[in-house]
Amino acid sequence: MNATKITIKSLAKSFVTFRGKVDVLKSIDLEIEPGEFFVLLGPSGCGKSTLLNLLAGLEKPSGGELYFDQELVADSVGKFSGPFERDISMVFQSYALYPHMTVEGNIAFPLTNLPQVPSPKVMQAKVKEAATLLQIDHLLDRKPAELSGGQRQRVAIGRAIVRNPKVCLMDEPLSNLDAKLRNEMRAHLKDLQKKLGVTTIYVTHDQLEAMTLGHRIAIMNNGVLQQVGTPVEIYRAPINQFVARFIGSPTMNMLTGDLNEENGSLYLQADTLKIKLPTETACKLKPKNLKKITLGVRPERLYVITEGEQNLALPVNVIENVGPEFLIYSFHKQGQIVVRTPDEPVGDSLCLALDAGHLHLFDDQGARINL
Amino acid sequence: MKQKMLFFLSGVFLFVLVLLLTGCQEQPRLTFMVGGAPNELAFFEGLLASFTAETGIEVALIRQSTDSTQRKQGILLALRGHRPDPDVMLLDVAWIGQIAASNWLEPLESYGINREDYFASIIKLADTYENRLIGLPLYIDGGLLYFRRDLLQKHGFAGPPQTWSELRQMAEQIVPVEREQNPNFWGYVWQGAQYEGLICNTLEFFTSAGGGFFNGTATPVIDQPANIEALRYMNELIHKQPISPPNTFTDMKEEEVRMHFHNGNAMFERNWPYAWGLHNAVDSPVKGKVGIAPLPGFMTGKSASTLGGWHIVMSKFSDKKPEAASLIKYLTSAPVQKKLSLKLGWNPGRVDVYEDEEVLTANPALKDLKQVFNNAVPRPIIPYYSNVSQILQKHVSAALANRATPEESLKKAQSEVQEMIKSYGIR
Amino acid sequence: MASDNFLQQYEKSEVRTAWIFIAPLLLVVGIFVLVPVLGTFYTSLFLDVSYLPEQFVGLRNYTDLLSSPDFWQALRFTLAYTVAAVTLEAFFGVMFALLLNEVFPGRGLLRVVILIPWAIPTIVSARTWQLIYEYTYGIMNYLVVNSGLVSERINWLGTEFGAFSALVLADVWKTTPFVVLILLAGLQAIPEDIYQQAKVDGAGLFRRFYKITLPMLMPVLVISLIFRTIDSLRMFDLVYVLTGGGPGGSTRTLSYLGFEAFANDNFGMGSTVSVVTFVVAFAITLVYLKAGKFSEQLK
Repeated sequence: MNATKITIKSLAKSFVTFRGKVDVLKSIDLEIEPGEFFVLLGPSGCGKSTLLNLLAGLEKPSGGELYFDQELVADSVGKFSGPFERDISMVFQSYALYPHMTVEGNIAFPLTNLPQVPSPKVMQAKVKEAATLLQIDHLLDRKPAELSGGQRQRVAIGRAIVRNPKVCLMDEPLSNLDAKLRNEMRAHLKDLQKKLGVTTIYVTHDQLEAMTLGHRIAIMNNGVLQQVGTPVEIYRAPINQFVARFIGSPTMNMLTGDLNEENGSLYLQADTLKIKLPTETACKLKPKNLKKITLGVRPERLYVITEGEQNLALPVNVIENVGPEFLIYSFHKQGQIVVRTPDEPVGDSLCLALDAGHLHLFDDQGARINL
Repeated sequence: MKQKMLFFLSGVFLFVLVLLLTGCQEQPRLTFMVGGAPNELAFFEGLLASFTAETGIEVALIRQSTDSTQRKQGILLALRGHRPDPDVMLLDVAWIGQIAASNWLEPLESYGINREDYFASIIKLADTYENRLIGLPLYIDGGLLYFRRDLLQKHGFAGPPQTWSELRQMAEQIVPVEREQNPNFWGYVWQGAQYEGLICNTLEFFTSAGGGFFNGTATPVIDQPANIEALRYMNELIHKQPISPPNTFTDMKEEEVRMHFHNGNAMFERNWPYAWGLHNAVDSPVKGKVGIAPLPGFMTGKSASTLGGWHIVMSKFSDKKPEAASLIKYLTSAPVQKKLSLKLGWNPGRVDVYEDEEVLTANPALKDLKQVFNNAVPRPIIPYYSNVSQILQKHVSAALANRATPEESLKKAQSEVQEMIKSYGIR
Repeated sequence: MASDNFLQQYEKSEVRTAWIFIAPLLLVVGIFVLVPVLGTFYTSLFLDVSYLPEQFVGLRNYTDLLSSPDFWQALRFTLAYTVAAVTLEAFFGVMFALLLNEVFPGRGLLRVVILIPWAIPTIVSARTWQLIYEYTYGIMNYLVVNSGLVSERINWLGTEFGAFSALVLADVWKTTPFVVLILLAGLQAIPEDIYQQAKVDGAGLFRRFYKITLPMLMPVLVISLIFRTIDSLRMFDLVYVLTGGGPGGSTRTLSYLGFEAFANDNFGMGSTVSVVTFVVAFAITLVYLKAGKFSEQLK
């Protein structure tokens, strides 16, 4: 397997418009391992698609360098190889199928552009192989207009893999599918990438796709990399409030307030809500002498208790039964607080306990406080 | 309810449509159809107003464009449809045969018109169809030779050429000298583009060689030797030791020819009388240097001038015939003809106006023109003249463009005309 | 029958209402399209000249026309003219449309400027070209003489080929913008993604044009060429102004032939020429639609 390593050094991109210079990417450093399924995650406008286009060779960087293995493929002074020279393939959100070609024509198109065009027989075999892998081999004579959304998606993927590229780039490939199909295709994609072992870079704004698909995830915001890591690392230890909020559903609960010490215990006063921090957390926090912090806790880490020492109490405003569990909403001045619990709550208030091991603390700059 | 409304609306729609199609029923009225430049139309408005003031007869002007083809189409449409309007209209001399033969024109003898007042040859050749007087000349045109009086003198010639060979000799002597100062200088400019004007010029060449298009009104004699000789001369004007510009057979129509001469780029010019006033206009580069004469002939005294101009006629379908006759008499009366000459510079159809002191003072050229009009030859007054003209245009043009020899092209023209006459079943 | 099923979906009264709505339109189409077309055909069966007794002659006008050398000359000229003009218009139309589809400074202005020839009435532009080709003062001769290409002025309209080329050039100048306009709309309907995908798939500039742009543009190209072909087959005004059918009747189109017949007051023959022109245009359109079947590939 000839998987490729990608090295990104201080990569930057800015556009000059009538309204002045816009920095879309500000000095990105990244290493993507051979055969890795790497996800670029971020809200729209964060620069992730621009980064993908830079990797693809559809745009030229305004600063920094880009290496495929040891080979420099682009820098800001003049070195630039096009997409085909880099041997990448790409799947667009719109699929960008050629409407005038059959499925077979679409999948074979990259092969017909090779410097040495394979013989029709070889070409047919390769197309057939890719189509079979994607279970669209019975559709080869159809035109894109005659296909369903999921089938078109598969054709686009087939076209991307048919020529065994060094790197496969995907730009939100699943976002035009309905929810059910998206789940199906997600699993299928993951399986396919594993089989092919091709270095894959996948852009999405959907944290669930990122979590389920990626070996590693890079979260971006405003053209800056926020955090790079495995899904578990990022989920467990988000590096700042932005990442903490972006990853996980429902979103992590956040409460900001002043720290007070009473009777040897440390309390967080978030407006009307008074939260007692677990002793272990308090001990580690005290020496840092912080005034104001933000406490983050994921909905499933708020434990409903009927007896024992509670850390906080909340009124119950809305209960949602989502099947395997209940989501309890409590409205607060700083937004809603969500609790995820397997048991239906009783009464109109909740007593909640916190687990020191699953608390996230952020300083007034939004950065994580490591205890 | 809704449906009733719909039926009602469709009914109204249909009713309006039927009204539009049938035209509203009208009261009989006297109408005069004429086209031309805005100043000409304004002049006619004034004439009609004084006609009404004098006779108490109301008359309406139906305006047409200046374009001669459109004017013909408009008149044909009304006459084909046997419309009561227009009652009186102007016809180009070239259309008279066709329209008269269609039996659309009211004979005028019974309305007390004196033929003696007009050019006798014109009344006889152009305004009489099958021995009936069907029109009167309102405005006469004829082909003329314009020449540069100053250059003739400069090169020592006593007067304008009498024959075509004289014209060529003069041009061949004058042109090389004048070219030294003016590389665009040519000897003779005339109307050679493929259009009706070519036929007017051709008729003059042919007639002055002793030829012509028809014997009588039914026998085409297009390929007679005199015509072939004349056409060869025309071709040689352009191609053999050329004294006429190479674009004669592509671009040259009245205005192109006039501008050429007007800008001092030609020694001789064939044109209609209208050019006289323009050549002598205040800002004209050739003002005062121009003379006019009858066109040359192939022999001395064999000059011919193609008759042009507009003739006034009455529609056979007129619903106001006596009033229409009064209008025709009024417009061809001596005072009105005099006005036309003084105000529009039109050459009157009446002979007596050419003797009028006031008119002659205003336009001394009229004295010469009278001679020219006496030599005027009309294009054949036959119903299918326009077909003949088209066939001739095509073949004469081909000969001028060196696409066929004069003999070939006239033989073809002759046989096509004969075939056309046969297919129309004309005896 | 499909249409029966279709109608059965509706109540009788609804069908009747529908007819009432359509009726005015049908009436207008009937009066202004059907009646004239049938009337033209009907007239073509007569010797219809005002000064001759009207006479039913069956297909004699047609046999007369088809046996006349003028007709074959005009047909040949019309077809040659159409092929030359439409080919050049397609070529330049595609070129300019591609150019105007690119992003560059001044594109908006150029897009407007390029449409000007089309906005000028044909008669006016024909007069303009007449002045351009004019022998003594025309700019064409000024350019070729002053640039030293030729020593003598050229009488551009003086030969059949010269007049033909001059007409084609004037027509191409005038109507290429129309093709550009339609193709530009077609180009803008091609998503940018497709081009990026093609780049990724390794298609170079030429292959992107040949394999992506051209096939995707084909439906609009065919439509614009059908328009242009029918227009060229009916061409009249340029000839009327520029050459008057000359020299020697060599530049007469079918429409010009019809015009001549009408000008001669021969309505039967004029109608015959019109019907034949219609048949020729119709046949060529059918060929286009047949050949342009690939336009169905894009639904």
